[in-house]
Amino acid sequence: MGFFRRLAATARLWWRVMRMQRVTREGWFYLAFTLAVGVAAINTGNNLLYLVLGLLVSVLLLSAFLSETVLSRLRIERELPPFGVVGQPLRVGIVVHNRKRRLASHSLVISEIGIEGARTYVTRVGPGESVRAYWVGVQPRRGALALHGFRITTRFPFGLFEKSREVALAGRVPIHPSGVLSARTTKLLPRSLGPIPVPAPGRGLDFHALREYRQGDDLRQIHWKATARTGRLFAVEKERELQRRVTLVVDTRAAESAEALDGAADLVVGLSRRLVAEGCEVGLRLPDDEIPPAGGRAQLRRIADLAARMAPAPRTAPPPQPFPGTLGMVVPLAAAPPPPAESRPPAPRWIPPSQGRLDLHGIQKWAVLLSLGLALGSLSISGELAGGLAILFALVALVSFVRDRAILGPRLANVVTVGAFLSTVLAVVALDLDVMLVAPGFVMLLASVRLLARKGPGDDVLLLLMALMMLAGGAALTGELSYGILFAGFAVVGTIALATTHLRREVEAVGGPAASRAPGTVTGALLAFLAGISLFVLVGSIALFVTFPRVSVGLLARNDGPVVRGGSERIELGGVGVLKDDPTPVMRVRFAGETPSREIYWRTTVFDRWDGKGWSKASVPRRVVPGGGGIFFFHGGTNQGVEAEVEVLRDVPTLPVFGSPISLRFFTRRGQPPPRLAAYDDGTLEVSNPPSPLRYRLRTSVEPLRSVGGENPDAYRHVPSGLDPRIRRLADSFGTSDPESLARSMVAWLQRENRYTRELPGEVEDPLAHFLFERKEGHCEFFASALTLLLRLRGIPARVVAGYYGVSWVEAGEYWVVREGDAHAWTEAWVPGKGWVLLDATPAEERPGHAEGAWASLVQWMDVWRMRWANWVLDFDAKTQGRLMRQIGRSLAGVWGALAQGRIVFRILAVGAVGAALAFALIALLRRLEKRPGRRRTNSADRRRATLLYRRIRARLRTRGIDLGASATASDWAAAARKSLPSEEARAVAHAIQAYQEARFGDRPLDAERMRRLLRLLH
Amino acid sequence: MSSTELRPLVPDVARLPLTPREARSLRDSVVANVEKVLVGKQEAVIRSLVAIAAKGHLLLEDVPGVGKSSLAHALARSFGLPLSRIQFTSDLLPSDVLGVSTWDAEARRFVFRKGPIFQHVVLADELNRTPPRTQSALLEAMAERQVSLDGETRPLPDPFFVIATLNPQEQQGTYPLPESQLDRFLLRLTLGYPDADSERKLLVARRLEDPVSTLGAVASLADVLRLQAAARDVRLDESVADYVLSIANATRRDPRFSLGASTRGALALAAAARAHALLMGRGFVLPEDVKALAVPVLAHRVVVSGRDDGAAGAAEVIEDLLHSLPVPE
Repeated sequence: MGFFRRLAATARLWWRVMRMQRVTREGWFYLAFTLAVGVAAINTGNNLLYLVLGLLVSVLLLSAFLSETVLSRLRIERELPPFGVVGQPLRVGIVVHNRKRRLASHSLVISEIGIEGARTYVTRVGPGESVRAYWVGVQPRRGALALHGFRITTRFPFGLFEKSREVALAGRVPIHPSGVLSARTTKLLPRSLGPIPVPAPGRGLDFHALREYRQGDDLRQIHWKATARTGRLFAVEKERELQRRVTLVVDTRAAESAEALDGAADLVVGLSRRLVAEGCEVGLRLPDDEIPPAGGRAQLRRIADLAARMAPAPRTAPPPQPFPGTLGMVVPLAAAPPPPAESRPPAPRWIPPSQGRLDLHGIQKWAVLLSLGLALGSLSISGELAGGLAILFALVALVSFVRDRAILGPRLANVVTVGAFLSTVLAVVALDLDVMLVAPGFVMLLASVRLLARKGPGDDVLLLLMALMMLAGGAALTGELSYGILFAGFAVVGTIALATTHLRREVEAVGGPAASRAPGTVTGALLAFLAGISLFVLVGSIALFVTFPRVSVGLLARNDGPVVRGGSERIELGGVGVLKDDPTPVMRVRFAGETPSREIYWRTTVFDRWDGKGWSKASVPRRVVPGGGGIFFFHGGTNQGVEAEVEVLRDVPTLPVFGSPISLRFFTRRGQPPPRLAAYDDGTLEVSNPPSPLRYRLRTSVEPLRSVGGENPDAYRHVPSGLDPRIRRLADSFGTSDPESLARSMVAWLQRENRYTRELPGEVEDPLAHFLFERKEGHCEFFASALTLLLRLRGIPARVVAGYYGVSWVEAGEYWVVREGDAHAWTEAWVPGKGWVLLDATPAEERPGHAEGAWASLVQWMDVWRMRWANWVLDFDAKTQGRLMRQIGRSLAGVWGALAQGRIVFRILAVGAVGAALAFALIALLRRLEKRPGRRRTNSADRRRATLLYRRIRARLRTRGIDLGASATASDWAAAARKSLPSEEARAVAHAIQAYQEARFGDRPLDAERMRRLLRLLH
Repeated sequence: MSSTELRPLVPDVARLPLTPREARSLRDSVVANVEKVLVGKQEAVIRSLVAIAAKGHLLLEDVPGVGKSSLAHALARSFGLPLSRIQFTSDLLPSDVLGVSTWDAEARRFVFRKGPIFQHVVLADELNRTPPRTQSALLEAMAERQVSLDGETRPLPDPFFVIATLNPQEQQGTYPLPESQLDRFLLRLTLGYPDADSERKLLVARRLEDPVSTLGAVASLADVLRLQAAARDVRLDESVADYVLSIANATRRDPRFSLGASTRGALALAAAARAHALLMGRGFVLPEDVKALAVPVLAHRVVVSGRDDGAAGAAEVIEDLLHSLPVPE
């Protein structure tokens, strides 16, 4: 039974603790948004949305954790003044001790329970530090101020959740009456003191009488002026100073309530002050209490304490009488109470951290602007955003932040917002626009309106939420690698922006708009802390992204794969200029098993008709390649052939294959329609419903092309009329008639007689004849055309094939790449009994190789990263997740060898290092923007050096764990060094500090050499 | 009350300023000398020397019996300067302080008999026990450094140094000094009880006779003049001057103070910082000097709102203020 009772007690405790949590208005928006993004991510399976979701959730986790640690292990004490006075500001002190050893507590609102408006705000309490805060109130009535306890509330770090804790701590401050006497009462005063004492001789100060000097009188009494005048000794007599003792008598039995006694209390305090000032001793007698007469300040306080407490006495009490030997003064009860002083509710006070140099306002402003910029960037790289709109938005943001004041009024802003919303809905419904395309524009419009109507940090929170929306929009619309970089930047900067916005809101709510501009609101330690948590958010986003279970429920959003064009192509000989060696990758290839030799010819287009200037392609029949489920078979071959995995990156005319394809298998994703493959009679392939991304596994035989598709060599015999007769004579000049040897001799001749160049011949009438007989140099298309025509002139069917030649190895990515610059043209000739034979007339040494140079390497390197981005982020699915988990598990459990293979770990480390570098750069930049306390004219070089030296000394000491604030002097730093550093080092520090002092404030010079020496001694 | 004959003033030729090193050794010897009488109060002795060097006057406010008079006597004897002690009672007349013209019957003229104030070192004991009229007599003479009576102006000796002691305000029968009068004192010190070791040493070593009477001189009147001249020449950098002003401005603007430091206060802080730097053996002022002297110089010149413990409370608030003000680098 006791167990259940304990359980109930724990549950009640938890309920009470949970009741102290509250979600703010922004917190609700944020939660709703996170939910929406989560649903969208699960529905679409878009991995980038998972990344954004990771960011949102890690911010939430951090919020919950941090607000808990901020409130933990705090001890609060009160510092009460001994008393307060009616109508005068009363300052109640609160001391907050942070008992944590490593963590600081930030952004605390401390309010008194039960007293409205008594609050104060502490920006930061460092670990082990104590901060004194206070609130000031004005009490309207005498009596006592009863204090019950505090509530400590924090909304740190992002203002999404509010957590409070209550501390019971009773206290009591007596409130004295003001004792201000009205003019009328002051006039009554002498009369009430009774008969005026008769002047009598005594030892006072005032002149009383002159008389003759008597024997025994004090020599000091001699009045010399009178003595000089009369020739006889005269003495002065002073007036007796009466020591008056007065008792103030108040008959409180006649009062109905304590309020009725207020006037009498004021009179008591005022009278006692006057009397004591005139040298009297004053006492107080009430029916139920008394204070014996005495003088001095302590007596005044005692009387005031009692006057504050004065309450009606019971009628059975004896009537009050003056003390024996004193003059009695009866204080009338009916005296008019003083006019009620207006009691303003206490103004909240703000305690700035005393050690900072930076100001909050600037940092927060630029952090929010930067976040908006990053979010805009992430949205615009998708390409779905009109460039003009993006530039307009950027301008609006800049103007709004530089001007820092609202440009639109709030009502106008609301009108524009509603109008924008309505017009967007109208556009989507009436024009049937895609919501995903309209939504970014709508969000940006909303954000622009808010930017123009921006009044303060409250609007900034909404702006940051809108930036998050833009970020999510960017995730849904794009798949670029650059998004990842912008996302990482946003994770760091956006967190800092959100935290500083929260701080600024709190500070300005308490200290007014100017408070956040004051230097000293931000310390370096706080900035470091913020950078740390933003790093955590970044790492958390990635970790959550990796671990979120992938359940793809709907269609994939990614549909930006390359297109397989169809249509007619042409090759034109002639033209001006130089063929570019374009390093842009077209395909990535991986070979299973052995890598074939470099002589890989990728066929994409086959040309059959020469018209004197160029080649064209007639329409060729095609038939469907049998297969299903993404796998297609070409011809039954016993030969295993070579297996290659191909990923096509750019638009191609047909599906590139090499050799004689045996089978082809597409990599499709769930939800995509199955692709269909068709083969033309010339051997090229066309695919409908190509999967996105376009990846397939090709099994092919590397023997020269055999009969693929239908054999119709006669289509490739045509020779146009009007051909230059020299070509016919050249064709006839070759001796043999055997097709194969004829072809080979033609190839040999072409390669021998002509040179390869990328330069184009310019505009010529007959480019081919020009090439063969005059110029004798050209690029691959010339060679292929020449061979084809020569063969055709001898009656051998021949055709020009265009495509790509060869593969190049990319070490960084461990794959082979085919570039645009690898585009090539060659010839195929029909040899009876063999089929189509591949002939390449271009000189072998000059065939396109891999492009060299810095630019090409850069393009290649970027492609490697794009491949990795696509593999590990965009296409991160459950299978990859499982693989990653297994790999992590293996590398964690394994030894160094396993770790070397687990490149995943290195990738995560690399991301972490990049994030850390970003954070450090940010901090360094912000440190450089420090405001100096006031503008000074330039000092001489020595003093400047001295100041620099001092800064370096302090930076060095900070790395050794010594950090004093800006109010510590150089000697304090030296003393701290002496205390905690080894003696050798402490001496070097003391020496350096002495040099600094002499140079900075004295006139001892400090040259650069000496400064360097001193600095060297420190390290 | 006691008074002695004045020594003639030294000629100007001997007023060569002390070097910082000489000043520091002077400080060391005076501190060691006073230590024989007042154990464990080096800080107070150094601050007294600051007041002397800055040509200011010293206010000692403390409970009775902690060595206020001993300090004054020891200082005067260390410099070989005669001290006249004025015990302020409630019936003291201004003429008792300043002097009085008496009628000489034989010579048939008035002869001015100088009061105890005409001395190099004046100990004004329990200044707040005497009515305001007598207080003003002393304070005006301190400010003007001359006494005008019966139509004649008589200058006070140079160097002229007043040590005034005050009883704590809670006690009866005191006439508190208003702030405008307190402003005339450069520094306010509290001695406090000695620490355990010092008090024990005192009890064990104290012989029957008063050690003050056997104390010798370690410096001379000329040294005082040279010290004062050197203190004027100490270099005060602009940034340190700004620091002084920032402290003064902070007391004027902070809502905890109902009356902030006056310009006289800021000047006093600068002068005291200069003297302190010199006594530390430096020819230039550091922010440390300003920070160390801010409370002694300013605590009695400001009024804290809502508190009635006078300068002691102000000291606390000024300490707090110093922690929030950045030091020039």
